[in-house]
Amino acid sequence: MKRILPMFLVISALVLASCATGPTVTRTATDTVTDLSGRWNDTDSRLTAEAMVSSMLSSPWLERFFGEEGREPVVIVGRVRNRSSEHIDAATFIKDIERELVNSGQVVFVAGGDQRDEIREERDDQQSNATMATAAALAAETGADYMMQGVITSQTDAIEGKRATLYKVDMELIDLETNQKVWIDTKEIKKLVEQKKASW
Amino acid sequence: MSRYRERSGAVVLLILMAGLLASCASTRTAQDQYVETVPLARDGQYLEAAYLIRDAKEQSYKEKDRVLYYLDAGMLLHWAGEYETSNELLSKAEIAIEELFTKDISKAMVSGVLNDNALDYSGEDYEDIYLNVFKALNYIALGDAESAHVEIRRVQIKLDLLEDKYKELIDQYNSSGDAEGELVYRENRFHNDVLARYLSLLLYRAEGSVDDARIDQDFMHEAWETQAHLYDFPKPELPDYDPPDDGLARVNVLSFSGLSPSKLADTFYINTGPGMVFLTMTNQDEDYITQQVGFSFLVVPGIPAGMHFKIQFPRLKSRRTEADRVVVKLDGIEVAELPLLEKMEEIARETFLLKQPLTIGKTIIRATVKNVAKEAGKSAMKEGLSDQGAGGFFLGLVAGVAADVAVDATENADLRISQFFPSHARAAEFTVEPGSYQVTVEYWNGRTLMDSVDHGIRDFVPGELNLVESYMLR
Repeated sequence: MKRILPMFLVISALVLASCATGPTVTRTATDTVTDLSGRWNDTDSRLTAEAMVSSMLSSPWLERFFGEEGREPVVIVGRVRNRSSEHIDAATFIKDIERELVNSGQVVFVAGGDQRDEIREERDDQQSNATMATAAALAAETGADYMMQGVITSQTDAIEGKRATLYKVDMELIDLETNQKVWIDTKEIKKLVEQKKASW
Repeated sequence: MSRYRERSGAVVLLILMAGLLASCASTRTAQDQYVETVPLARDGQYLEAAYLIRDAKEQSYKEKDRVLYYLDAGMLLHWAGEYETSNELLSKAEIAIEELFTKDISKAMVSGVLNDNALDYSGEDYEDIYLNVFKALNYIALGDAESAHVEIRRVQIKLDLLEDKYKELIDQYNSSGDAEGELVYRENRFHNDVLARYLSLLLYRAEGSVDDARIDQDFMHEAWETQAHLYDFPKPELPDYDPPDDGLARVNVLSFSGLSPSKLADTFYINTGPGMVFLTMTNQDEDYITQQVGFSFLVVPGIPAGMHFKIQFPRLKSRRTEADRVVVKLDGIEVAELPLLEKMEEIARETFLLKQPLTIGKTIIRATVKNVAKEAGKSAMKEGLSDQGAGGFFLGLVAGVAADVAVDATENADLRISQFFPSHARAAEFTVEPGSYQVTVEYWNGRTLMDSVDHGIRDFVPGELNLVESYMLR
């Protein structure tokens, strides 16, 4: 009996052990570096955007444009293609870049893509429904001087429980009139994730 | 008398333990939820089957089975055309599979005492690979080619990981102090998935990346040369990676049929009589009904009576498709017969066999340790009760049976496997004048038309991805 009782208790405990617990939530600063899964995350997006903007603003194209035109260049963001093996929200990354550039005061941004379509739709609607005095004028958009395009790629190598992923972000600024590429930069982020193996 | 009462108490505890273990979901695989849902899926009632799976969530899927639930529900919702929800569930399955690759030590100990059913189900490798293919198809249906391509890229990463996944585990076991004999590593022979490459080619071609599309086509050709054990059927005509600008629309029809293999239990019982050993074998049929398939006995002089051993292994059972011919009709006119592109069930088997040495090795060791300990306990108890006359003999007998039942209840094969992946993929490409067509895909078995699936009116545009996905899970 003395032997059986502990065995019974241990086995019963093991059988009934899988109890779920509720989640624990801790608020944290948004600029805290969090690497939970090893995937592309908000920190990667922010750091890459900061590095890209710093590179873009220190590149000679900006000074040359000021010298030639006497005003800030107007930039429109084109497509940032995701050719990686992860679902990366390019919109977040683009917003990070736009914010940094607009706040620098050295570049003017105009809306592009879906945002521009929505604005045009609203402007068209105003022609029928708003007063002449308040309706936004047609054909008065600011034309962009440059378009920014990019691509995010990744390469993953894995062996013996270790996974190395190299994220490469290539951004280019293209003159809309001449097709000249006035600025190109690449930022790379490498992450090494080590997975524990199942114990025997 | 108090000693007798004490021992009677021990027997009662043993019986209680047997009852507890026998009824515990941690020790066996729930299969009841499939009795109704699999026939529904075969009949094309995917949403109904998905609802039943959802309703069975509390009863048949515990937290440790969450990967299985996500896969079952995710695949049924894919077939039902609920692409966004399907993607949510398949993504949850994928994340959980990745997390569970790191199993925690305490759970591994539970498995050592009970069986693998007590552990979190971390998915079969082919499930992990194909879930990305079906997520890609979901994204294509949702018009998000870029995300579809992300999924396809993940397939190749997983195939690379598979290369040494089990080799390292087996090496780890063989070099550990717990090693009881040496496990043999089965070399991975699946490196390149044609179905994923096919979709990749179509996606690259649609975006104008000719060189990438050509590389995918090269890999597809290579699969028939380097993986002939998986692609042991005539190579179909593969899509052109750089079609001429002839103003025609290229249409690709991808068809799935059958259901992926299920796991059934093969059980071996060894019982002893005076100088005799009795061997009994049972297995489960496709309706999960256990039947005896073999019986034998050996004369072994001197072996004591009353010993009982049970050992159970999972067996992969093919549920191959009944469809042997699949035909595409546009506006009622036959335009193509779909040749076989991939025997998905063969890939399931290949990846299952990679893990098999671990599964069998672990089962044999665990069952041996448990059964030997149990027999030693039974002997000790019989000895302890031998001075209690007829009552003691009876108690000893009951205690022995209770111990057998308790250990048998813990020795169950882990039969968890998703039920709603298909077994075969077929594909063909043909050109049509741009325009709208009524698309029908017919599934034939010999001269019998099994099903005619109406895909409605589809617009086919030159230079775009015109993919029709068709399925019939019989």
